[in-house]
Amino acid sequence: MTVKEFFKSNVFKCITALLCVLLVSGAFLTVCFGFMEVTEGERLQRAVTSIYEGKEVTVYGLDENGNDAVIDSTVSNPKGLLEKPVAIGAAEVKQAYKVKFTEDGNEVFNYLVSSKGKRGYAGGNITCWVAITVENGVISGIYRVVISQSASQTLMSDINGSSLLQDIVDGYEAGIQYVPDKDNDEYIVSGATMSSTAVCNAVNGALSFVGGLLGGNG
Amino acid sequence: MDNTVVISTPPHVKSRRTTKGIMIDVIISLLPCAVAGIVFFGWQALVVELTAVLACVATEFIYYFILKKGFAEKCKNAGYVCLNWWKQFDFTSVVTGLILALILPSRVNWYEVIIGSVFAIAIVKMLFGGTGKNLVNPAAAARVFMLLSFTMSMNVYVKANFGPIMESSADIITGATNLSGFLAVGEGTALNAVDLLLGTGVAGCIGETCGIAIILGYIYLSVRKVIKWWQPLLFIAVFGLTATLIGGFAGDADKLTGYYAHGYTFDISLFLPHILSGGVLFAAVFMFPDYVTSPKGVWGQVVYYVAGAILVALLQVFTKKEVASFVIMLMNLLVPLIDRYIRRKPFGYKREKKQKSVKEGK
Amino acid sequence: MNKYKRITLDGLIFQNPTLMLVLGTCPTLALIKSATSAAGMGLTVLVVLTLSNIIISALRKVIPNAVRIPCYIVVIATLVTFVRMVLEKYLPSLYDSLGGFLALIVVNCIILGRAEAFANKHTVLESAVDGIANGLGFTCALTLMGIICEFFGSGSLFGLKIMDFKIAMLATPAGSFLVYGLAIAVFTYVLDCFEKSRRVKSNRLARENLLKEGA
Repeated sequence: MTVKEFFKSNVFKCITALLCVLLVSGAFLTVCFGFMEVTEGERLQRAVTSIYEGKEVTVYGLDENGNDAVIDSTVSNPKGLLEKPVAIGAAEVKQAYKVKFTEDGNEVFNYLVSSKGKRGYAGGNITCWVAITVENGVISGIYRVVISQSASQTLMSDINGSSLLQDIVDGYEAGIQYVPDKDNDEYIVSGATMSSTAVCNAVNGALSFVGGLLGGNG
Repeated sequence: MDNTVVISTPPHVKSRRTTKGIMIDVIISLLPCAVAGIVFFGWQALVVELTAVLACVATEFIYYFILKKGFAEKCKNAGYVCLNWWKQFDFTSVVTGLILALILPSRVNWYEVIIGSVFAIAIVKMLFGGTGKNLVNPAAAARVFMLLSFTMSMNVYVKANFGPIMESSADIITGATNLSGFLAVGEGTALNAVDLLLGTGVAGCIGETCGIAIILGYIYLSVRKVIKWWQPLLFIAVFGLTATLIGGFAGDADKLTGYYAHGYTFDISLFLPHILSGGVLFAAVFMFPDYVTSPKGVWGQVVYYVAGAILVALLQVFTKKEVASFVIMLMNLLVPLIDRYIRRKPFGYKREKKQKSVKEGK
Repeated sequence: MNKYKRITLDGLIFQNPTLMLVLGTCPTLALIKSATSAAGMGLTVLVVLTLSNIIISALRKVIPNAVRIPCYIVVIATLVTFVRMVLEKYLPSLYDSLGGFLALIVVNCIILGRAEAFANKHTVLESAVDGIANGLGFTCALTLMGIICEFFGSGSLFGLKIMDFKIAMLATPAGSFLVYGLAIAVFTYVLDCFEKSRRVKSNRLARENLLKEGA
């Protein structure tokens, strides 16, 4: 087929049409992305805000020099307080952040720790996010425990208000380690089984980790 | 000789057995289990049984009334329609209700039983075409439905106590039946085989605990030729062997002490307890041999029972839960496959060799 | 009947994509456990369907016949990516409740089906009306089934807890499948009754007209 025939043929029209559509779509999406990009830092901030039910929070991680850095929408690669996961007891602490918010006019500091509790029902694990309140360098209570589920796309999006977790929050006493309630070992939540043993292990691990951080800092 | 020609329409050879007769036989064979259930578990078991049977019959009646055509005309001569329904009533829904009641724990609420019965009759049986056309066993499907829906009630099993109906001395065990206690020794009480056979002190569903009653029912059904005698025996034998063989592996990963250590132990004395714990005996006699949902040819049935037994053994030993209903549903769904690939003898077929010798002999 | 009215009624009732044509069952089964996520998915599909119908109908004379399917898929994927970015930025709660099924809208049979069956043969305005009608039909069907599943499966309605009693299986995809099948049965039955009564009435009118003419 000669060059002229090729340019008039159907094949050329098809290829051109396809390439044009691709180019236009690509350009359109690039423009949109420029306007509507959601950075990792903003995602983290949104997730943390949802844990604290809409209060104004400031999230602190670490920057390259090891100093505290504020994580907000300008940060595209947030780093937590840990470089790699730390195993404590029957749990593994994966990420930690410091959170500051105001409540009743006071500034409150929290450590937000993601810990994976092991040895649950039938040997399973559960990953929880534990918010631990710190006052004057000493752990003063647990603010919230959230079970993280991977069914959705944002971080920590599924806030679970079940009574098991509320007991943990309410029953905090300084220095006491949580003991799982044997009768409650299979808490069946519409198909998924939560084990109180694993949750307690996770919370204990988080408490130990924060205690270690505070103790180390004097 | 009389040279008149008689004209008649088929069938020309009739048997005396009717669906109604067979179903009444099954009901009679279920009665020992029902009575044993009431004795062991008290008046709650009676409530469950009555509710299930009445709900099933009522659902079938309402379905017949509403969903066959001509609802408006039916309302006008309602009495006539009721009479028609009674004439064509085969007792299949009574059997379904009774079996469903006997595989439930005794502490389910009455409204949950009604919902389960409606599901069993209306959705599993009627929507697929009625008697003889359901794809899965309605009682097993309803039990699975209730297990997934009403988790809080369905996992509470009352311990049976022999004697008059006393509510105060009944222990309530949460979790699976005696099965899980037995398989994870150290947590459950150790019951010997006689206890399990009689059903005293065993926690479980209403009809499953008393082994003697089930055996009585099995003997009655075999004598009346409702089920073939070898079918439940084959199932129980394969199940017991498999469970004993596998039982050596099922140590709990985290528990360092346990009846089944990390090595492999083959303990033949565990054969009896394996068979008698949980709902396997009941399922083998009353639910697996159901005509509608099991294969038609002999070899197909053998495959069905052997595969079912192996599956139940595997799942029960490793998950320590009641899995008989799930396996029944699974095997029922495989039955068309089995029927298609395992050819069966046509009705009245005799081997050619024998025919020839008969002809030559004459 | 007016052309637009016919298109609308077809998309909404007589050829409802979920209940009559049984298209797009994958998001249906996964998302009707909660009425809000069902409604959200319905509205997202409505937007994507309308926009894709408009674009494909506008380009129908330009795209050669041999490459039309790849072009349609590129257009639909672009639209879905755009909607995804918008949702993530401005409506993160809806983005969350849809989960991974937002990306699955690209291969949703309804969108490709309407593009192939309608948009490349009709004008832009007709395609837009068809897209809106089908999207509304999908949304209404999904929301109705979502209300039933959520009410009986979780005892709540649009997130507000109403009663404690629940049949937990209806909150799982297995229960959604059950409710879906029953909904199709009920819908077809209602439509049949409607059809029959309309036919009876028109027969009666025709007969009366004949009698009048004869007399």
